[in-house]
Amino acid sequence: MTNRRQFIQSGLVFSTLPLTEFAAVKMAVAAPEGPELTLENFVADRRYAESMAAASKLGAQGVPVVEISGDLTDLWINNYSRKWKRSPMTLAGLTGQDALFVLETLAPDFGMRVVHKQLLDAPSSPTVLSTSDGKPQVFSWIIAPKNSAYAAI
Amino acid sequence: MAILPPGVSQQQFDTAINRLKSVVGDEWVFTSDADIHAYRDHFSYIKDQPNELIPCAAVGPDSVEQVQAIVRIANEFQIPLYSISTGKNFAYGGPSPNVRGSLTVDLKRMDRVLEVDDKRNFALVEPGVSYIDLYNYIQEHGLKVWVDTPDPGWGSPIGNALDHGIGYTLGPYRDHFSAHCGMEVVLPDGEILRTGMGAMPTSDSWQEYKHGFGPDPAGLFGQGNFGIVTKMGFRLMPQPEHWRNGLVTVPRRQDFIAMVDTVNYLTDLGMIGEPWYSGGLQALMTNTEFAKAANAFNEEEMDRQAIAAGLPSWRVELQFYGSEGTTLANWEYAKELMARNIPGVQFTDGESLPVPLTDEQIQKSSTPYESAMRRNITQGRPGLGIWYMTGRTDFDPNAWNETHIGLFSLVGRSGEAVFKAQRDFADISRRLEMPGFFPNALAVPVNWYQNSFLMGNGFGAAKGNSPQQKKDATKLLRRLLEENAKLGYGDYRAPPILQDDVADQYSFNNNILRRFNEKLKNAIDPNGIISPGRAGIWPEAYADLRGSLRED
Repeated sequence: MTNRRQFIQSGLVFSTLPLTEFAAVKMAVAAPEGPELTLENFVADRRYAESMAAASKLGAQGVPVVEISGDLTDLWINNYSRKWKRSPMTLAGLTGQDALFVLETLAPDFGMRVVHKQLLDAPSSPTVLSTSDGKPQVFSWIIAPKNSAYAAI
Repeated sequence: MAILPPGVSQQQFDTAINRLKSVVGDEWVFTSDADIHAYRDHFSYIKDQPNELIPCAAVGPDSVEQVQAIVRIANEFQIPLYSISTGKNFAYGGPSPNVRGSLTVDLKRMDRVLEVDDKRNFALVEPGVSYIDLYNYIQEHGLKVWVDTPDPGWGSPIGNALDHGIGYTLGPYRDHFSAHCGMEVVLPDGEILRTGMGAMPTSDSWQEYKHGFGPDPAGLFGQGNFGIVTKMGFRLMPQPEHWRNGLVTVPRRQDFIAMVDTVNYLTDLGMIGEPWYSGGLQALMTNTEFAKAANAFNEEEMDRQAIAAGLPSWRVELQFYGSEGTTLANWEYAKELMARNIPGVQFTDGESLPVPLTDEQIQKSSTPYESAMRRNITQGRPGLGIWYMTGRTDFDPNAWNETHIGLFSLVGRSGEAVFKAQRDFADISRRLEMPGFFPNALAVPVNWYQNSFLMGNGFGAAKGNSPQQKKDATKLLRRLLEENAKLGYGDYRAPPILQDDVADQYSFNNNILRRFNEKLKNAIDPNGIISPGRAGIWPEAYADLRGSLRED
């Protein structure tokens, strides 16, 4: 396992966005002001039109997009379980809370944590997920290495 | 929110922390609130309560030698330890200890797959290896063996087996603790023990013959607190060439008895994988008359309405592993036996697929009937999709998932025993004023363990998510455990908050089992530092904590 307290910068920066593109990400995930955001992935949830719209915009700006339909199994087994073992990464997403739950639970094992999350009002598409009050829960979020500059905001 | 180990001063604790840092390095000792957050059970019934089971700190060793050093330091300072593999045993406590203020020994850094052999069909792993890690290793090396995985698959084979966890393929592999073969353990005095043929230094059979010679202490480490397991071997299922499934339905309520008897026969001959039982009449519960009949266990009326609706009373999905020919032959044999034993039984062929199934075949069943099987786990593929059922996140902790606030109790593996359990659980629910999770007359068993049935009950205990409602739910579950024990329904796993109560159920001869285990515990672990209270086993040093979580 890698060093959990070390922020990794080299080799894994897939996309560094200048401020204008950062604004797009910020809008996509409703994130607060912060330093330049280096995103390795945007996780799009096919169940929600808002998520796919954000993915389309960010993809056009060069952010690598991965798609799920709620179930993270394939993304985890075929991608993140290997990548996160090599080093922590920064990713954002707009997903159902079931997917966020899995990622927020796994992130600390790999030196990362959820540094931003926000519940989306009135998602366009209902989810099959039932919550205690029956409302669907869709979140925008960012996961980053726990000692990263963004995590310090 | 610093929490000290019981009976340890701040100065002693600080000294111990510095000693731990000298063993594992500063970066692998975790004392900040942010770090400790990861070691809390966020599904705990007592989350955020003053008595929540939170550790004082956590330490992450990366070798057996470091574990030994940690154990010796814990003895010196009399700090209770609690070891976790991946810490994902949610609904059974997750990473939280039995004693508030314990030092969590996080074994996730010990994450090596030491050996996988697909001719002799075994694996040897460290505790930080997850089912997904082991699956990835097998795929990367092109090995023809399967992992029998729980659901979700982010847990550890060692952690899951030690808590008597289960899977979903063939019988011998589904009982994960029984499927283990050989373990290495750091004992409470810091010495290393190897069980089975591991006790013979030159043996090549450690993962093939688990008994070794003489008494086998391996059982002490399953749901036990006699040591920290640092390596464990597992028997693995060879990858079959073919997989087939099919559905059996029976018309009348009493047909369930012959259905179970036939399935037991097929299971114990090794002909089928895990059978998935389901009821056929849930849809009729919207019919007031049927609901009344079901709640009153009026079998004649239930049968009449089932026939009128053209619905079967019971269903069982069978699955077969082998070659295309053997799976077909076994399915045909299953049909022959069922038809011999149950007039009116019907069959629907499912799918017949070469192994490995494609991703599309895993994700989308094409069976011509509604299938309850989660396809990936029948194929030894760990998954994470089951978390669709959770409503809880740190963001909204009150969206607390109610699905697993309940019990799974041992029931005899027969239709008669299931029928009795249905009535008993219905009766207990009424007396405790607790809504049943299922219409009781339609409740079915799970056959996770090849030779046993488990049935869910108590899932209606939680009426809401407020702290008071959670307390009330916990009290209700304790009463339920007492009532279940009177009728012989023991629980097989429990979170720390209920482990004393479950241990109370096993009361033969004045709780001789617990007395025996505690005598051993005090002899082997005189300072009581290894997971005190686990499974209701309390060493003398912490005996005053027995029952301390009960608020009745």
